[in-house]
Amino acid sequence: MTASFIIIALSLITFRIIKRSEFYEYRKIRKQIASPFVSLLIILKNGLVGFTLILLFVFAASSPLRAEYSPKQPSINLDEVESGQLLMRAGDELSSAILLSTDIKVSVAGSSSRTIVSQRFINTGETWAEGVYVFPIGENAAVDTLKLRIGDRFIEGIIKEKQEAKVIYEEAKAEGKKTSLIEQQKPNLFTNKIANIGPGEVVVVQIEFQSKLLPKDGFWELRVPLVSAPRFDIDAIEEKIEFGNSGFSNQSMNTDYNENIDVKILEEKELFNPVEISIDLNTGFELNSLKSSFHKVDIDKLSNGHHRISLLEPISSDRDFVLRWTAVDKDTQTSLFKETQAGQDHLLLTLNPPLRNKNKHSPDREIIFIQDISGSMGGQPIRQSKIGLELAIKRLKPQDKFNIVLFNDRFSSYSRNPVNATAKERDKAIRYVRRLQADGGTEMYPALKFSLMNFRSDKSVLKQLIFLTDGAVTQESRLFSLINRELKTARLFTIGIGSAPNSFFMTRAAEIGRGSHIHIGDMDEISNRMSELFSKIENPAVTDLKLILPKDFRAEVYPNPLPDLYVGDPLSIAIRGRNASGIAKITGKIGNQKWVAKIPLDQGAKQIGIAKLWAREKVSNLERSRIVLNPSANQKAHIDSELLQTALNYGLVSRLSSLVAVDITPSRPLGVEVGTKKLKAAIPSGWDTKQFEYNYKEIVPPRLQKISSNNEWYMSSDLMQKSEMYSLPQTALNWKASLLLALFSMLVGIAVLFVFGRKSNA
Amino acid sequence: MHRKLFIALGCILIFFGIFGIAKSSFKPIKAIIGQHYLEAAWQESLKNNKLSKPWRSADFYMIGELKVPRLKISRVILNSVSGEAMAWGIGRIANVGISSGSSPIILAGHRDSHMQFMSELKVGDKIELMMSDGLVKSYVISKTEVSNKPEMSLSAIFSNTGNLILTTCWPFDAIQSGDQRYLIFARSINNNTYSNNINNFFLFSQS
Repeated sequence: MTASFIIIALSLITFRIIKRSEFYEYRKIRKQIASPFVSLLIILKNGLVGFTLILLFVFAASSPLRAEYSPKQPSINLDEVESGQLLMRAGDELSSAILLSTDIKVSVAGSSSRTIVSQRFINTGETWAEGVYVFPIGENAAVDTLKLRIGDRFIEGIIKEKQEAKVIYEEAKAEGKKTSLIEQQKPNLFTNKIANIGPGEVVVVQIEFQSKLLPKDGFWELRVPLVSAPRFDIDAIEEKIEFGNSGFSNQSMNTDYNENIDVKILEEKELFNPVEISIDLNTGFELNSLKSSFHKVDIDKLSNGHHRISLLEPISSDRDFVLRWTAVDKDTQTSLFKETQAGQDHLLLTLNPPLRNKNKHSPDREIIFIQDISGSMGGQPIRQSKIGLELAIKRLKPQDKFNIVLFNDRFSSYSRNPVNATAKERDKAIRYVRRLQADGGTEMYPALKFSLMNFRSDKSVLKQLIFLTDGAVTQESRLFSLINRELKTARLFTIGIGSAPNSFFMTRAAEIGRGSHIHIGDMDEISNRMSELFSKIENPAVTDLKLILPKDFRAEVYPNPLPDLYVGDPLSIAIRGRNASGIAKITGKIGNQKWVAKIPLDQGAKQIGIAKLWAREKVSNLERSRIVLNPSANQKAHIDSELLQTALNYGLVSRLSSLVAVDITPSRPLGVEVGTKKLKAAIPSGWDTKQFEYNYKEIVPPRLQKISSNNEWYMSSDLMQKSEMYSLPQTALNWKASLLLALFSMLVGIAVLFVFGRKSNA
Repeated sequence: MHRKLFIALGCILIFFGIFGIAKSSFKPIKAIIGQHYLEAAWQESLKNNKLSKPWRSADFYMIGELKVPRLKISRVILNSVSGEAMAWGIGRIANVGISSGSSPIILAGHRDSHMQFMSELKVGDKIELMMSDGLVKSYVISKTEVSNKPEMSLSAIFSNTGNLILTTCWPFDAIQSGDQRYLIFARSINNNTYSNNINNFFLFSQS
């Protein structure tokens, strides 16, 4: 037992040596290639390590191995939904019920947009089904309305506490009533469930949400996430089983699928899931350009600032709809909108800093790069982020101070304290970065803690942390409270690499760190995106922002505290209070100069939806403080109750509240005789009649087609347009070629020695 | 005079040769020994019914095992296809599908170490796969293909089926890394694990 334990320990150590020695070989060989002595040493070491390994392996193979276990299981979940998706289920099986058509209406007014999504669901299957529609929308969107049309009846969803809503839904579902429930799964992910869709039945569901529109780098962008649903449909194989007298069937199951089977295939023209989009764009300012990025659109210009946009033809939903526009006046823009609701004034103030930084003298900085060098960064991510880091170091001025902190399951730093970025030091740091190798696990807490406490400069210097990782985050709340506790005057910028799961942590961490977050999904873009971020944060447009309200105006303001302003980034502030009037001041610093903006609060343009945006801002602010402050159970309950109250008052779907709609009338009312004419219910006023109409023309029944099948089941054909791309990794060690080359070199060497050695004898 | 120079040259060449042999045989040795380690650790993790890392500083987990009965080959599957992970074993390409249970399993490995056996596989061969749930699923190779790009497209609906795809670099005896990939498609023949509905997807032919 003890012996095997020692063997294991030894072999683990040896493994580390192998991995490290590979790396040291490279370095040494490159530097001292001329010295045969060094090569000899390395060969000896290599041989020794190899020999020990083989010995150890022989021992270890016959003894059980002790491995370490981690309870955390990686799993695929809702996080990975990046566009809207419809999942259907009937019992535990996939059902063939599908989404029929989608109609999206967006009206943009000023800096907010209202989106109305109407969807017709049809169940083409034979069984009753439940549909789950997953839709990701921006984190600042406020989902507030749910409307249903079932048969001749219309139902409007009501906002309820989440558990209560769930109970109502589940009960109605169990009783066979039609019901729908919108829940927030994650800050930016919602699900809409529709229960009891009968065979062949159509249900129309309408969801509405309000969102904020802010220009980024001079561009306004409206993004409509579209659904992806299957465009074709397959019948299940039916088995006819007959039982003999013994009670057993003498038939074998048909598992050999080489017979002709009916498969429904839709032609390209017969869009089964068409989407129609129309947009009413009323910006209030003159447009310089207006463009749909991926789809053909028809633009109807009503005035300089008012356009109607519609799709030229219904599209199949395989790509998000993106509309971008720019203003004629590109420089500083400030806007103020107002909505009065329940005696309270709600204001949305937007500040757009200039696109070019007029402040030429960039401030002195102290910057610490925290770089993930765990094994999963291996390959393209580490190569790219090394280039990114190198660029960042090159950009530093001699007055700036910097440090580089590396972490995997351990951490190390370039120097103990940040050093001045002199030319010499920069070169040294670049060499340091170039040597980096990805290896080991991921443990970020100690590295982050060290970095947060590593700043040495005084208050006037801009302190920035750049945190790059691709690792899944554990112990989120511990990290959040660390950042909150130790941040002081520094700013934390996070760069997330790879799949989405860690992006929630990274976004929140940047918010708490009063910096910003970028997520890089495409491995080839890492260095470019990094250098974009670096050039942006080099010179903040305005720092130390504060909002000073008039003395007699008491108001709730979000976000709190205000973040810094960077070139191209807008800032929006949501304010609520009674009788907004007087002059509010926003103060800040441009470089070392003071900056003040005066805003007359009574001049806000009236606009519907601002109150909802304020509520949404408050909700996300509460969510943030719940995470950041690491509050006691008591405080948590207090925050939660305030959050729920806000959500219920303003009718928003949130972590604690859901929208639920139940068809109260039973499907087949008792006492109603067959043949009795039903009265057609009037469409409630304020509802858009047209969007709730059934359009039977859209229901194209799938065409049946015989397909004789064979083993060639893999499709690269264009049977279906929508497909998923998988990138396949580089999979070659290429050791054979170098082995041959080495053998060859040795043979030539021996031959040379042989030839010239013999001559001396003769 | 020249003789001394040549002798020195010969010595240097031999040094380089020995060093090169040591260095290049390092990777395959690591690969072979790694598999035995992973195998032992995997058995241990199955016994404990826990998802585990093979060693503490590893940045990947063991998630399953692949067996080819005809060639008497077994490989431990890791949850990552980073260079680090694939030096030790074969990795599963993360699927972007809706759920893990029904997505196809795509495995990648080095053509000159763990996945060398792919060159010997032919249509009709049986492959057994055991993932962390402990169920052994059987697959039959139905198609092989060479792709000229390092990517593969699967139709969205097809992606929701539980099939197996093996991939490695092509050609097997190439000297340098290229963009070509060799793909082996295998369909599930285990009726108990997947519903009829899903098996139907195999029937699609290229029309």
